[in-house]
Amino acid sequence: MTPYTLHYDPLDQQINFEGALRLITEEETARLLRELTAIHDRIEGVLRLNFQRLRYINAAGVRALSLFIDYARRQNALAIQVIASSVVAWSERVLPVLQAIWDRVEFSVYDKNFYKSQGIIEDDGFIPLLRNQTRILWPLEQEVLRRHGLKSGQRVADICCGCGDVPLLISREFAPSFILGVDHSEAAVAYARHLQSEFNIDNAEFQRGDATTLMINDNSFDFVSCRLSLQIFSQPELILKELIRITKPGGQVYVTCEDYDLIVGYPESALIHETYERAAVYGDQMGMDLRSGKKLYSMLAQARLEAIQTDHIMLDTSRADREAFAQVIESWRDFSVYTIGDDLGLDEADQATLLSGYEAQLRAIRSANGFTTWGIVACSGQKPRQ
Amino acid sequence: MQSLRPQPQSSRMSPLFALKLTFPAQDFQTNWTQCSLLANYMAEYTAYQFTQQERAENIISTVANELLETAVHLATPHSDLTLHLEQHAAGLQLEVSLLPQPDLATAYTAFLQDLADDVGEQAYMQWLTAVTIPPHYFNQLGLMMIAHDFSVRITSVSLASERICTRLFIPNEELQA
Ligand SMILES: C[S@@+](CC[C@H](N)C(=O)[O-])C[C@H]1O[C@@H](n2cnc3c(N)ncnc32)[C@H](O)[C@@H]1O
Repeated sequence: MTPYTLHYDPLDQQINFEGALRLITEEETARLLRELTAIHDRIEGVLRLNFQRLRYINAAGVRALSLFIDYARRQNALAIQVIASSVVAWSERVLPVLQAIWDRVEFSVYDKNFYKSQGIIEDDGFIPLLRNQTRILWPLEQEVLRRHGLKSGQRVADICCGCGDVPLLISREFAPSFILGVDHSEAAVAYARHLQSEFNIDNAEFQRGDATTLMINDNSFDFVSCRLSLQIFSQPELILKELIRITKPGGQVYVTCEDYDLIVGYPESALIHETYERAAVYGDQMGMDLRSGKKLYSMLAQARLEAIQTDHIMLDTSRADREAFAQVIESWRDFSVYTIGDDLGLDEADQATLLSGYEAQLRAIRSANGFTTWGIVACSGQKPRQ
Repeated sequence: MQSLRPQPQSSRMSPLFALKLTFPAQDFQTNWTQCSLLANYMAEYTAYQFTQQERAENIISTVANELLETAVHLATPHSDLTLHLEQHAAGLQLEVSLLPQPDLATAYTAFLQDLADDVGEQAYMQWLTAVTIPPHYFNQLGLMMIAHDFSVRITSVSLASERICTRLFIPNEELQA
């Protein structure tokens, strides 16, 4: 384990701790205290202490921080915000004590309610929906992945991997040298590990982590994917930055997002259209951008990725098993009308309107001549070599 | 290193998993980063058995590191430390047995007795913000921290030949919230 490092970010007046703060000598304590007080003394307002990347601490490290808070208390010049994360379990337990030293210390856990729909997305009730989606998507997406540069022997990371189906399928079909799946949901990661051991796959690993603060070294993967996830996070560019950081120079970053503007159906086109319009608005209210597929190209270009390629993964009733497709729409219907609907407090009339479009789409899928689509944009770019 | 199979004739409840390590105290006294290495190793070795693997790993490592630092402070140079980790149905038990430096033994057992009675908030704060550490230091702060912030039970028993065994129990609820 690397010893700790400390980066000061003047834009946010934030000190980012990284590594392991296990101090041994009094000299080490004094040195840390000097560094902290030097930053303290040259700013005004709020100082943030961010521990999201600090994997370990010892009591001597906590004492050094306490001495610093005590210094700040005596100076009484700044307000201090202490940011912990549930990914590094010690931080939630140990750091609240700093508040007891000085009441101008504000303590928060970054990844508790860090996006609006976190509670429902991280519930294990969400897993069947993900599995139904992958069942119909994988036959098309594996070809797209190949076109975007995924090949055997690579080190691959799938960030926001959900319950692990796609990393495990990649392991089977593409034979990477190693694949890592990361997700913040305890339920999804536990499910993924269970599947992995059931299928005897030994070149994969699953990790619970936060995609905005990955505990992964820079430049360590050849192919990094993040599928159907950027849209649920209010600051997708934070995740994209991390995806790029962990990709090797010359490696590939691959992202997909759905886009409700790409969903059409026939017959009963208007009903179906109306429902997805509404679902996108309700999604917005939950902090999810369900029409973000069209934005991926510019996101990747702004992030200065090179050789950007895009693809549509356009599923329709002629290219997917109709019953499996119907199961996906049923999962969406229940998620949207009941889970999100209840969360937003939709009244019965609104729920009924929403429901009617999903039911119309299900009729289209289940009638031999009906037609409907699910459109996803896939976009990848290469990390500059320089 | 030994990985122990449960002893069938043992009078205690058989552990689900056990690990026993013995090493010279001096290795750690000359290279303190070994405490951290060993704590992380034990934590990784054990955590895969818990559903919330990362959480379990992080908490085991944090707690084990403080116990090890204490042991290394206390032990007589040239003596051995024995570390014993057992997983039971209700949680994880960590034991360290050592020969304490004579001038620390009494203070240590008295300290643990006080700690078992109560982790005084005030006393913990004073240790945390103390500008200097006291002369007879054996990581009191670390033991206070784990007693204060984690639901860990710490007990100590004297063994034959003046050795002391400190036992720490981390209940499952702490390892999987
Ligand atoms: C819509 S699901 C997609 C899952 C998977 N990629 C799939 O296609 O089945 C979004 C996933 O992103 C995860 N997630 C959201 N924000 C995250 C973050 N900051 N760090 C890690 N995972 C996150 C959620 O837990 C959820 O499993």
